[in-house]
Amino acid sequence: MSIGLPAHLAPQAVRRSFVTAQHTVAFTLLTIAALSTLVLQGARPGDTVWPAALALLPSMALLLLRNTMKTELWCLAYLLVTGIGIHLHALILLSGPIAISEGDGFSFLAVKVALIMIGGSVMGILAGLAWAVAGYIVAELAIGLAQVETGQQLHLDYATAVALAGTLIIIPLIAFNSRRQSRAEPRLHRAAQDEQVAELRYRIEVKAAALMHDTVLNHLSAIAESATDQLEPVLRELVERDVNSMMSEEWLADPPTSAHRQARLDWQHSGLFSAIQESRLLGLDVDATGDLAAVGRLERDASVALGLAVKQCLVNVLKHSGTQHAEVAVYGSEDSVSVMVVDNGVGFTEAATGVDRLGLKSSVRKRIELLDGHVNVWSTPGRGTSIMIKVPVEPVRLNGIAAGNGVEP
Amino acid sequence: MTALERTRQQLDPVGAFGSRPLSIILPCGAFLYGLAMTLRTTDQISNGMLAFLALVWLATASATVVVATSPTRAPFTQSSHLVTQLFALGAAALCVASQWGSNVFIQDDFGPMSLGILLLALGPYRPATELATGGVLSAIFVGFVTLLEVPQLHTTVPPVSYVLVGMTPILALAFASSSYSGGLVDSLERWRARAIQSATQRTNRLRAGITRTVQRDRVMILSQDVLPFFSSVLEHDTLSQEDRERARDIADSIRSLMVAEADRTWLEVVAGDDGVSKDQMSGSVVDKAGRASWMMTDQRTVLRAIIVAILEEPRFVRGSLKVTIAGTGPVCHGVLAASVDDEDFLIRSTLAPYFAVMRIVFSTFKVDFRRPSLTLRFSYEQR
Repeated sequence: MSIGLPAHLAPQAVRRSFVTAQHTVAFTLLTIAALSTLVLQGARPGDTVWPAALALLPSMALLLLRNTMKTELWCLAYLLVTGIGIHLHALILLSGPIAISEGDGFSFLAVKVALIMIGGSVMGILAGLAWAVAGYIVAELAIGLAQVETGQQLHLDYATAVALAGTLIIIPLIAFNSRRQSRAEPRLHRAAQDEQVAELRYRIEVKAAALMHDTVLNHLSAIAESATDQLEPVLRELVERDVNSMMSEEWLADPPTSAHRQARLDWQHSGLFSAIQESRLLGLDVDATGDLAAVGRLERDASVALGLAVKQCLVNVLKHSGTQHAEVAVYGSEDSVSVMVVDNGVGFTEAATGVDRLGLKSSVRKRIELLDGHVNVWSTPGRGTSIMIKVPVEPVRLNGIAAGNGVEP
Repeated sequence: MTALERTRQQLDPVGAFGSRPLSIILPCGAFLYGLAMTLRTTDQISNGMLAFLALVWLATASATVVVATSPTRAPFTQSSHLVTQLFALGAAALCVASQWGSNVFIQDDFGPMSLGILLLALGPYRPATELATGGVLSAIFVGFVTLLEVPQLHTTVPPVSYVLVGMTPILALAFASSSYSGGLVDSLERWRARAIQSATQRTNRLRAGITRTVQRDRVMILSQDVLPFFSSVLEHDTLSQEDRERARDIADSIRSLMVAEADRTWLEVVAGDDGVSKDQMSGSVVDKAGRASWMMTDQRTVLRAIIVAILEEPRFVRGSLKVTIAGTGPVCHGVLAASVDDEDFLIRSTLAPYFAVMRIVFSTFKVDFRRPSLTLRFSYEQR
């Protein structure tokens, strides 16, 4: 989803991330200042400057603990602890036998900026500005006092003032939200919702269309092509069952979970088994071969949908292939189950199938695509047809929609 | 669509509009800082030409950020980041070279601070790890250059102190940029997880209602011809020639209805193309191979949103929306054309947030507006 945060959440999330960034700056600066102090200590073993590094540790610890306290309390604590810490830090460095001066590759800029990065913006723009200014004042006082105490000359530190100015400019702009942005965001979120509903409706429509094809159209065709004047008992039974099923509430409902568990355990309760049995009743001679138990690993909906898709393939064999014999071969792998429906009938070319493409398209392809599966058709006129249906064992987008009505004969 | 990078711009293209002011101000600030520091330290410059070149390189780096972060050029790529960083590092090296032998203070060299500010500006546009890595590598380079300078300085402190001074702004600001990027992406992903959860709950709630509607629609179609026919056949238990013909006729009419339904893509539904009432429809769709169904959810969502936005434009010319989708193999090319009789800048600015999302979710995207014709070209691949 590339729609992003809704307008009411965005400013707060952006400000929180900005404050985290400020605290990262502070932590990095304090770490480098402590490290510089230790480097200086290494270069001047006669002096004792290492406590100046220790003076910064409480502030660093506070930065790490910032999520454990209320924001106002934390800001106040950081202001006090860091103010005292950098004062001691400066006092130790400036009162040594060799005083540190700015030109010596050493600067108090880093520790002062660490205090400006106090980060009160979570509480709002004004609070962010106020805490930054407070941090600047405390930092200048802390270092200035240390300079006075050690007899150093006071001077205006432009660099720290520039750092404060930069921070004050950035804070109000950080969660900027333009008017066109505010207008587009709700529309995009609305479109995302509509898209979800449309997809749900599409899946249910596909299921309904496939069911309608499996039932109504097949029965109508069977009646239209019936050679006798008597309604075949098998056809009568199927028509009666499907008419009742369509009128009932369960027509598009998902099959019961108990049936699902049983189907997983027993191939004879799988959708594929039902499909083969029904086709046999309609007069087709079906050989079922291969790893039949593999279909037991399919989820409930996948099993039912696979059965209905294979049933349509077998009905097509009966109606169009000119042969009464078909073979159903099952291959199971770790992550998928493949079913091949093979006949030695007249075959066809996809381009020449006209309106009959509907059966393959609606009852087989779309149904299997909803399970994240694939359908491949190989057919040559005069040389038979092979249809390979491959279904993943755990479909990603299933949600109980792709399967049929679950009414097993 | 290629995999999205973990950046705010790619996960929240509309929200990234909010970062635009800072992506202009910060690079300008980086250049002005360089200019101010150069003017302030003219007495330390030993080679004026190199100092000038340093500013030119810095200007190039800053301009790259300003231009490449524009929503109209989204997304900001790794290559743009590389160009920015290389020019800024070049500027830092040239700045050092321009003061070779006469540099007094390391602190007033503009290179590290300007580079740090530029990295900060990239927070919303590049992933956290890339920003941190780029910062560390740049800091090492700047540290090395600083180390070369130390022998010329009259100092009592160890050279490593100078190296740390040189590296500090880059490390601090690169890590800040990195944690800003990471923090935003984390909150976006957290929100997305919650949104997916609530969407699933919502669709589960809606499922029963939609199923009922669909069933009602189907039963309504069936009750006209099919159910009475079946009832009569079941009642008589015999089949006449008339029954067979009637069965064939009903099957043909249902099949043609279902073929039309099966061929109707989501896009035609959104564009209001019902394939029948040409005079009344808002727009039309030409998609012979049904390639609209190959789009991924994000692509469908933004196309849906922009079509709705265009249809709701007061100056939209009714019936002028046309979406054409064609292609070869797995690559699909879409063209959305509509007439909107309005000023160029008004159209572009109203639709800019949608364009920003389209740039991210489609492989390619191009906008063309010559009043009143708005043409959007986009492409995507079959997943």
